[in-house]
Amino acid sequence: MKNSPLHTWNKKMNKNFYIEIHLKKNFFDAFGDDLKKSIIEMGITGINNIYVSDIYFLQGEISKKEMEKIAKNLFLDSITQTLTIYTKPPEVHNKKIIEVWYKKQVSDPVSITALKGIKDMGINKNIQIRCGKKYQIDADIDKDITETICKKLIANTLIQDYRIS
Amino acid sequence: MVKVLILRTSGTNCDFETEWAFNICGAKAERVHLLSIINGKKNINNYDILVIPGGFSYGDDLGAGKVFANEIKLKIWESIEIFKKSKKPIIGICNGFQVLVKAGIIPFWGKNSASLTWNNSGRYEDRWVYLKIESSLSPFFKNLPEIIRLPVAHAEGKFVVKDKITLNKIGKNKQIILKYVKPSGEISGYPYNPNGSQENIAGVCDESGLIIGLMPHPERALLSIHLPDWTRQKREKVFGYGYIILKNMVEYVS
Amino acid sequence: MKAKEIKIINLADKELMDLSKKGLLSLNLEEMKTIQTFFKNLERNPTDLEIETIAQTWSEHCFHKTFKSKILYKEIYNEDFSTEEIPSLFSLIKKSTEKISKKWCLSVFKDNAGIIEFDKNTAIAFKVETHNHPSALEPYGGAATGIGGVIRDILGVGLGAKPILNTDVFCFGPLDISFENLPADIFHPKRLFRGVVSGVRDYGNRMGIPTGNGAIIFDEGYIYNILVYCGTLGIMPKKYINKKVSVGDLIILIGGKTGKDGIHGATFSSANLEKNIPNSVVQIGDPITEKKMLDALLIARDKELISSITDCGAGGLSSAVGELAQDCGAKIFLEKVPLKYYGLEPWEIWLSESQERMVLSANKKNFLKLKKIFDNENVGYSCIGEFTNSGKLEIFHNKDIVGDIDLKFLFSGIPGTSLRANFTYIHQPDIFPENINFQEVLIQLLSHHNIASKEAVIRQYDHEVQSHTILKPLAGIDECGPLDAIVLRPMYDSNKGIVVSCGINPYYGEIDPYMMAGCCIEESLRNLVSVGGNVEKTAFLDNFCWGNINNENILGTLVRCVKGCHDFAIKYDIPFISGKDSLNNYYTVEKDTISIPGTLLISAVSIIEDVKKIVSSDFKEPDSFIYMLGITKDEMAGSHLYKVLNMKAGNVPQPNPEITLPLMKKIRYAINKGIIKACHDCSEGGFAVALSEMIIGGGYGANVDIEKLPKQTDKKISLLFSESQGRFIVEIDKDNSDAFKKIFSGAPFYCIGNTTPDFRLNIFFDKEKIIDIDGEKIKQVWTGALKW
Repeated sequence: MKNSPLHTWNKKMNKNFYIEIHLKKNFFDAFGDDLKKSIIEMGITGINNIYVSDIYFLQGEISKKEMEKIAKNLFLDSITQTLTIYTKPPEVHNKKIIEVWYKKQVSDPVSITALKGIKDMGINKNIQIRCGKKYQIDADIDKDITETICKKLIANTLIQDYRIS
Repeated sequence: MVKVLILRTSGTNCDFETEWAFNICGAKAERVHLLSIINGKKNINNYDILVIPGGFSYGDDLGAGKVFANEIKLKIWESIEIFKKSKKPIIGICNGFQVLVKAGIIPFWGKNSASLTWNNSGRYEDRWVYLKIESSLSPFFKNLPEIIRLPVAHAEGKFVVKDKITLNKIGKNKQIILKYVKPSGEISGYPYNPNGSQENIAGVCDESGLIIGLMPHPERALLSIHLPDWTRQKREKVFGYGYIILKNMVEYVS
Repeated sequence: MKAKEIKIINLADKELMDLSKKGLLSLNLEEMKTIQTFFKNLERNPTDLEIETIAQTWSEHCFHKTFKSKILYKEIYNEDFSTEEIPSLFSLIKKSTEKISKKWCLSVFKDNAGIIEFDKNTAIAFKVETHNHPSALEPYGGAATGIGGVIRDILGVGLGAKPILNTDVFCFGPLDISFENLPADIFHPKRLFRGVVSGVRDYGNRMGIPTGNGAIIFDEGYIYNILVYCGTLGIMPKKYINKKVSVGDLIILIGGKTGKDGIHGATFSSANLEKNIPNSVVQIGDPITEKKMLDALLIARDKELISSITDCGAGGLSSAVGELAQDCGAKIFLEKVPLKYYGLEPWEIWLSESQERMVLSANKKNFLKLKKIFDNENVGYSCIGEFTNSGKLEIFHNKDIVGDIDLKFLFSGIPGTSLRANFTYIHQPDIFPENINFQEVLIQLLSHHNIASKEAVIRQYDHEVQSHTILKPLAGIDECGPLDAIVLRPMYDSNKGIVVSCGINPYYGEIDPYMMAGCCIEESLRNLVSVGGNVEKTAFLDNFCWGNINNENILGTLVRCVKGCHDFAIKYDIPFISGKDSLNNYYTVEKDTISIPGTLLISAVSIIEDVKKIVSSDFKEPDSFIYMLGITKDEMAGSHLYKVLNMKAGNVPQPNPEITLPLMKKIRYAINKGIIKACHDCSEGGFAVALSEMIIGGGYGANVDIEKLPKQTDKKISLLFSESQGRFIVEIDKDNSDAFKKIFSGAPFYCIGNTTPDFRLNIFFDKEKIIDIDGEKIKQVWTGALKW
């Protein structure tokens, strides 16, 4: 968890939330499909499917109720997506999940827009947001291959941190 | 003179050509920033047509049109409701369509019943498409042939509905106004349907037909020389199909 | 936070160099000593802010030392050689523009972009920049901030122009190389290609500026160092082309907040790609902040509230404020700069290259009006100081003085340098491959990524936002045919137009950079002439991307190329109005350096009277005459045919302005008269590729006899694939044949065949059929080769 904003979980502010926005299964995952093609081009076999979701890490003086309101009304498109709110860091998986975040000193316009959107909802609180992407790889591969995929195709360690879990 | 309000915000970028387009159609268009509406400097209901133009409002961060749609819902909903009740036309083009749908203005007022999501390609795409006019519910699509050509340019233009019931309902109500087709008029897949829209839907309206949302850009098809292959055609006509649609709107009001 | 004193006045030479290296100052010994002497005379040490400011201002990136140096140049040909002293490369290019002296050139080589007249009241500004190193490290962010930067150049030219077009030219390694052969710190070309295109796409599209002209080259020479050229064209009322700072004007910083981003970007970009790169050099873009700034600035300009403006690019505030204050002076209060986060040292605030910021000056009485505009548009701003007549930059941070820099020293204190450069002619014997299957080779050429359709990229760019785009990058049947140039109709109430095109070909430069300059110049002209552009009202931009110019032989190729630009600009009578160089694009492997091929990009912009008269390259009808204009020769060196065959031999193409310039004027005349229905120039891949492209867009076939081409060779291979300059294929109505012949009398031309209803390419040599391919096959190969 060192290479991820999640290592500050509970360290800074009183409330921490990890939000994941997934595409509903009946919608075509264009980004997952694209990544799958690139992995196959690299000569890696055994990939069944890849699911890409948006993740947000929020820290601040917000209640769970407010968090739900923000997630539902701002982050979620209820027609095409579903939502999971974690109040603890998500569990470790089978080394096939990659999370990518911009490093702290890289300013991410999406998080600035998210803060604006929260303010529009009348929630004027001190909140910090980090936005990221989560890649769930459904495949018969080991951690080294996951690492290679991550470094060669997904993350750029110059500006991003990643975590494989 | 017909007064058109072109509602812009941070990231709107088709406002100038939309203003020009309505002016050519004989209206008096004015680009107004959302902040001026929110802080009461301008009143939507002093205008006859409301346009939400194309662009990338707030960068399309958190989903195309989402943040703008939320602002409409939270900050100017009442004014829009009055506008609708006065039976004045509203048009959302591209990002404007995304805003209208995500704010729950179309296809059904106050309901979250549809969305515009990522193209099947996962990428932004700019191309001219063939469109079939499916319905006469909206009065703005008269004096046009059955098949017209307009450009689309978007990343999140795949129209999807909440469920089968919604789809049946907008079909039965004749709220589907444009569908992506082949030049021959048949329904077809990519590239004729550029984004994978359900039922090839390119534009819908509300139950009255006065509030319309289009992924294609009429303001980019105003002149015949906007067509991508105009150098192959006889150079006689001055205007493109986009002009006729917008002109119909202006004439409807006047 | 206070400034740190940097002890310099008592350092020995070696210690000076250590300081330069460790501090990432990228200054040489002579420069360090000049600074030392300057401060010795002041009897004090510089602060960290002061020395960093000087290093930035004197960096290759900001000051263009190489282009301003005196050069002793030697050309070697067999046993002979000649030498010449060149005052500077920059002055050489400028000299050609002065000689050509066009009165419609309104501002050249002095502002952020070149400006030419559009009509009585309107001007257009054009600039192309490069963002190579950052894009190699982080393709998406690097390319996005590259386009963001050049857009700000246009926003900051004169009192600001409105961007109406972006252009993009990229050079990558081949997409099909294996992952295994790449060093760990180099991204695969495919990732770079996708990342760069996506970066330009997401930034340009969000800005609401169409992206419409460009080129992509794939070659082994760019595996380690990619090239990313981004251009922007803007339009402005003529009355706003000049800026003037007055003493007492406020200095206003507008746009995004300041962080540690890009510290040492300017000094870094002229050092080669080192392995340990501080991550602060790479940033991702925030186009919406820039869009808000664009909206606000154009309103402020039109209300005549600003006296001067420039962008914060390399060197950040230090460059922007420094440039504007050059002739007067300024006081700056760094605590007034809005920060992204706490913890920035004063020098970091001053030098930060955070994107999406610009500096403007305004009379105090206009401040409230400006404030209102910025608030309405939701744009960040802060008044950070004012202009003075002190001749100095006086920089404060919370009342502490952190810098006090003499402007004269800063801008003219840099010691002049003198460099040596050598160029050796390469003579390659003529060798012609035998037993070539022309048909197979043509298919190979059409599917070569440099030649094949770039549709996979083009469609991702919004090329028609603003509704000005009249000739789009793809046209013809199914919008699948190539177009030579983009045409804009920038005013909603006028049919007057702008044509934009480019020329790039590093392969000729491997043999002779002088001829490469001529060919790139000509290619850009041929492209715009093909659609109806006017060579008599055309201006150029030059962009030189070169390798390790510390090597005298590599510097020699640059000199030779600049000489070519000078000479051919004069011969074609086209002025350069602006330009840029990016040097030291090389990669270090142990002790070796791998330089990129010297790469010149020529971008051309032309003004036309009536966009309704233009033509496209696709064949329009069956049964028209096909004419060939221009002479074909055995000029195979650097050709794509030889690239495909992996051969190096023969002569590089030589432009012939004496023949081609009058020909280009005739073509324009004939297009305006409506006599030419389709026109396409022959470039990469020669005649056979150009003809194939006209078929693809037209959906009709062609039946031609290459024995009839105007020519100085009888070799079939040359007639099909030579890249001789000055050649165009045109389609003419049979009824217009006489009128056509009359216009072109005296020029080299011949009727070589006709278009056919049957979608098929038939090429004969006299009676012998040498190519016979189904049109669908050609189309499929050409359109399908370059995949995303």
